[in-house]
Amino acid sequence: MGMKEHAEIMTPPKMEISLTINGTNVVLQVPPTKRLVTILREELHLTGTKISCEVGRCGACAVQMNNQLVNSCLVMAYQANDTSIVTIEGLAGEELDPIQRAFLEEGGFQCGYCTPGMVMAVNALLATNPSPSDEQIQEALSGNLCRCTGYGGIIRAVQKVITNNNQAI
Amino acid sequence: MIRQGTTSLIDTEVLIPTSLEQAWDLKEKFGETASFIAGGTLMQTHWAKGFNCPLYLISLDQVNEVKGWGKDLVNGQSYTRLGASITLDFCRQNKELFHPLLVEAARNIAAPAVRNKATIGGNIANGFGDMIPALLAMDAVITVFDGNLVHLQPFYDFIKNHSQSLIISVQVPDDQTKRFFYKKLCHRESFTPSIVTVAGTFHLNEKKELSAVRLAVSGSTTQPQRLYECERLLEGSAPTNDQLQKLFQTIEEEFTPTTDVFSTAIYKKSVAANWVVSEIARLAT
Amino acid sequence: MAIQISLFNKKKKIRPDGLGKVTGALKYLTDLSFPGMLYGKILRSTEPHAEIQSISVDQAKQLPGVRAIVTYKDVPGLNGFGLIFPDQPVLCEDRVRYVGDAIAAVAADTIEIADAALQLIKVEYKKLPVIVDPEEALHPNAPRLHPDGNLLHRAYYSKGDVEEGFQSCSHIVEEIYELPRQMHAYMETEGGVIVPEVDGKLTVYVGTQHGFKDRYQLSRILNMNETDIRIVSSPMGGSFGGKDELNIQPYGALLALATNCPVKIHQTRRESVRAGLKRHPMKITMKTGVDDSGKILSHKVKILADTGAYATLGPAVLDFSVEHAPGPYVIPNIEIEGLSVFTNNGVAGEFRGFGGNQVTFALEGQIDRLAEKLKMDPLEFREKNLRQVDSPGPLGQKIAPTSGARDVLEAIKEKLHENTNNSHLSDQWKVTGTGVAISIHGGGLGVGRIDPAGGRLSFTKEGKIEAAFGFEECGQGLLAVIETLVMEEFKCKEDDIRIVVGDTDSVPISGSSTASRATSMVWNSIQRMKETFRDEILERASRVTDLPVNELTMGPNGIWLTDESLCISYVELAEKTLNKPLLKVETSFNFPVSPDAVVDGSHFLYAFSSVLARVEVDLLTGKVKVLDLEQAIAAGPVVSLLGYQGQIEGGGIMALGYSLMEEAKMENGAYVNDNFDTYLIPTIQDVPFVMNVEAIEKLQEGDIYGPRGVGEIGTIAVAPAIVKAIHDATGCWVNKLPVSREFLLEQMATRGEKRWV
Repeated sequence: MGMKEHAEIMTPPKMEISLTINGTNVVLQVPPTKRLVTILREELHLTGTKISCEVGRCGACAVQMNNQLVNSCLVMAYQANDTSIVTIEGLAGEELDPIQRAFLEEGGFQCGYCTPGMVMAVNALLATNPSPSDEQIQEALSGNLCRCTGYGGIIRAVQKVITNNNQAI
Repeated sequence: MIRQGTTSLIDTEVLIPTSLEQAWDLKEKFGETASFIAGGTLMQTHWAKGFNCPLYLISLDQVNEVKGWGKDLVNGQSYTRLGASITLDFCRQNKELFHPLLVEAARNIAAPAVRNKATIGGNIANGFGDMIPALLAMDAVITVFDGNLVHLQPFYDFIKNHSQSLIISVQVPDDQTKRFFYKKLCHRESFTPSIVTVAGTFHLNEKKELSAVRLAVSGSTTQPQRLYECERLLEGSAPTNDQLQKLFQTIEEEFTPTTDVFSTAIYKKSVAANWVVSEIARLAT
Repeated sequence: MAIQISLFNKKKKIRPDGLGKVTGALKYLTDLSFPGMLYGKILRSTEPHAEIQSISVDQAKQLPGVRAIVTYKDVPGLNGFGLIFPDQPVLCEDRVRYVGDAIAAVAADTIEIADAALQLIKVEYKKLPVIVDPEEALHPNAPRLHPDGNLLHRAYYSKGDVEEGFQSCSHIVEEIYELPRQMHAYMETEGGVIVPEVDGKLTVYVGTQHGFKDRYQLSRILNMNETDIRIVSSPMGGSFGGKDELNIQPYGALLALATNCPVKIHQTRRESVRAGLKRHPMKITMKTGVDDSGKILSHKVKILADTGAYATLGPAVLDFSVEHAPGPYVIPNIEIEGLSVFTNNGVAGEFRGFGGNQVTFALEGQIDRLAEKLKMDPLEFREKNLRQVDSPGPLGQKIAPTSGARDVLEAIKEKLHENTNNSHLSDQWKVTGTGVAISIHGGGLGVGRIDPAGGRLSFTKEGKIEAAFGFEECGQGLLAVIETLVMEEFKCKEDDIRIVVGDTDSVPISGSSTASRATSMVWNSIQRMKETFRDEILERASRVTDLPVNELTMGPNGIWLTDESLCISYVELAEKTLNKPLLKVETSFNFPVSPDAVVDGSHFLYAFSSVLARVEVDLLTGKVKVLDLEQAIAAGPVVSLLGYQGQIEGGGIMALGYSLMEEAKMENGAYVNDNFDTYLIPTIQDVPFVMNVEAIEKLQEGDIYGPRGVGEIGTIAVAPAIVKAIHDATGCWVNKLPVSREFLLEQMATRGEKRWV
């Protein structure tokens, strides 16, 4: 409705970007500096990715881009072009991911607002390092703030995943 | 959209050149209204604080010359070249490729999600990055493009002159025989700006005498600095307690940090002095 | 000895809201969107103190895509809000008193347009002198921030004669303690969507800790009937007290009414910091004296709180500080005076611990210093002065008998004993130390305050046991508490239960989700309703099945015949009793209060904690790292294990931040650190990798009050334990939080030159 009337004034330049989100290819016309977090939450309604500090200092918006953890608030649309993104919504298949299950069982969350980003950070860690040391767990999660748990439940959840993995082998 | 302070910038344009020359020409064309950008992690944080965001962003993502790593010979000596677009995480994770001092510096910067995007080039270009003292202490050289020429210069000249040239790569000597240290103090254990960062390297002979001493200090609000006086003081000597006490005083005199709202210059001096002296004592005695 | 449980060995139950949280599927209120939704933004003052000379919105209105702009002229009802009294303007007319003061609000098609419109609103200010210091504010010549002056509240208590008491003391310690402005730093900033409904009503999807209170405050502002406003207030991404007061609701509501469209406002972190509440900075002077035997004889306290520009819960926070100034100790002569003072700083209000954190830091500091003077073991000294089971409360009032104080002290003694050996120092420049502190913390709003509780159990048409409470799920685990208690009481399964909270259109009045009261009040409500509900449902089952009622019992999936066989499922029972009136049991009562308390706000039910902290101090930088943090809590039975553990550990780490790094600094009325890049809360690298929580579940015989809440108690005694541990490691006393590394380094430097090699 209102958007047409002010086309000249408030319409940013747009570019076409193509990216894979949770396995589905998406083509979008967006301003090149539009942030990935906004694209996810507002264009695609993937609200599992949260927004909290918007300067990459809390990890609530963390997703994986080409298998690497990034803060989606610090990724501009042009930087996400031709990439593959996995958000929290793309993590579980038919069953919960073992990380999500461990978070449930060990109380790795309370308000849950940091949880999607935290789970993605754990996923990024365990994908490259299935048996991390305590220090490696701490380093890998150091960019994800949690104000509720004091990290105790999160640490226990990660340890549980590692133990289960090791037993499975 | 980019947030600059409380406003949203809706008309920022992104230009994506595919060569150094193109990148440079665009910068020439738009001048102050344009800026190079790589990972953009720090720049976006700065804009959010209200720093001016330019109208044009010149992305270096498609410029091949700034990518990759390898070995170079400089004046007959072997160096490892790190392309400006190498991410801090790549540096942190690849201990077999890079000097442990660089790996340690990268480990101390931000957190994994930021390090996955932030680049070595960006860390250097912002002028306060925590890779800088490490590179200063290692006698790195830097390869830059000034519009006409690609040329090599000592890293400390580049930093000292606040050079605006486009960073292509840094080259770090492969010398693994030097002893080294790197320490960074933050207001919490990690993921915060540096209050003080110190880095140092030196050779130690059988008589426990130091040579080729390099000491560098910086901080998030403190210009990177080489401590030449201190280096001279240590050069050729085997440190005693008295001499280390002298070194302590010299650091306090020579290091000129700023006072900011969170820490005083006096504190930063004390920490730098404590660290440099204790590390020299640990590594050289 | 107390019944003790190690939380590790108890059954862990998955929270009912867990699945949505770990999958990202749960919609927080800031995740909602509605067709035709507009975006709202609030223009806040650029000045900490000024007269507004003019506000011009003309240019902003011209901007295409702007749908409405509201200023003070557009407030139909009372232009003010505040939980105790409405002294904060919704939209300022002629004066601003802090940088969070709202002047206008815009609704537009996009956030970008709303942002651009804010830039076009012109406000002319005439700057006024800025009061940044409460002492300065009390000066007779200081500009008056409010009609009654700059003193928001004075609280006073005395007993005996302190001066006389000091005469008989052999040791006296007098110190000034300074506590910082702490940020709640909930991960989800304030926000949500306000939706005008077709019938003229308004639905407010915005987090709060007391839906009915929001409804009341909004009805006053909007000049609407309370029943025409519906508040949906859960779930929330954290609150910690910070979202109890109104925040963006009035602006969203005014804009939604002005445009007749849903309006979403979700504050950015910087907007949140600027406008939001903080913990009260306090300066506390304490003079405490003991006799030779170690008996505390006299305790004189002066508290000066910087409450910022408006009242909100400032008076109640101060009352709480005053009440807890004697702590769990029995002291014959006491004089406590508290002043809460207006300034042009950020507004301070409710925050987990509610004034207890500050005053306990000071009190436990006094205790440790006195023990040092007496050359007495600090725990022995505490023991000597500790309250007994039947001792009166801190202000002499009758309280529910409790051995909590002694139990937590005993528990921490054990832990101290176990913890003393294991420090292995890898570095010559590091030293370690251990400290212990204890605390007492009242639950509920206190005597003299409206503090209703209640709940409702019904048996729905679908065959669910529905438990409805007027509480909110902020993240604390309320849903798990309700589920667990209903399951335990009726032996039913998760699937048999439907929980309703956080929606004023469908919940009974339960009071606020604050003051560590919700768990306690859910338990008490269920106790009051359970028999009637059980009798009624069994009666119905008996009639439907023709089985004798005394052989029926509630169980998983339905009604069982003497525990052996399921005779009718809940669903079937519901189907077969559809023609009967809905089975519904309600209760309402008040939070228990002391029968003889004379000081407003003083409490009847208390919880206790003890904390052991072990720290490592870096002699080269003054950096402090907490290596161990153990807590023992006496708060009655544990209801929800993961919730309990999470509250105590999480509260402990929030307090670790308070002790070592957190301070919302203000310079001349403006926030210096306004986002997580400079306002630092603990990361996973700042916390002990393993923490221990011990729950002491014992209640006195005959105690009818059940579990006490544990939302706050885990934050109270951490700071003094850390500071005592620093003293143990370095010999330096710290009086000011967050602990300054610079101060520590200086103090340690005065202890002689270092020997480098």
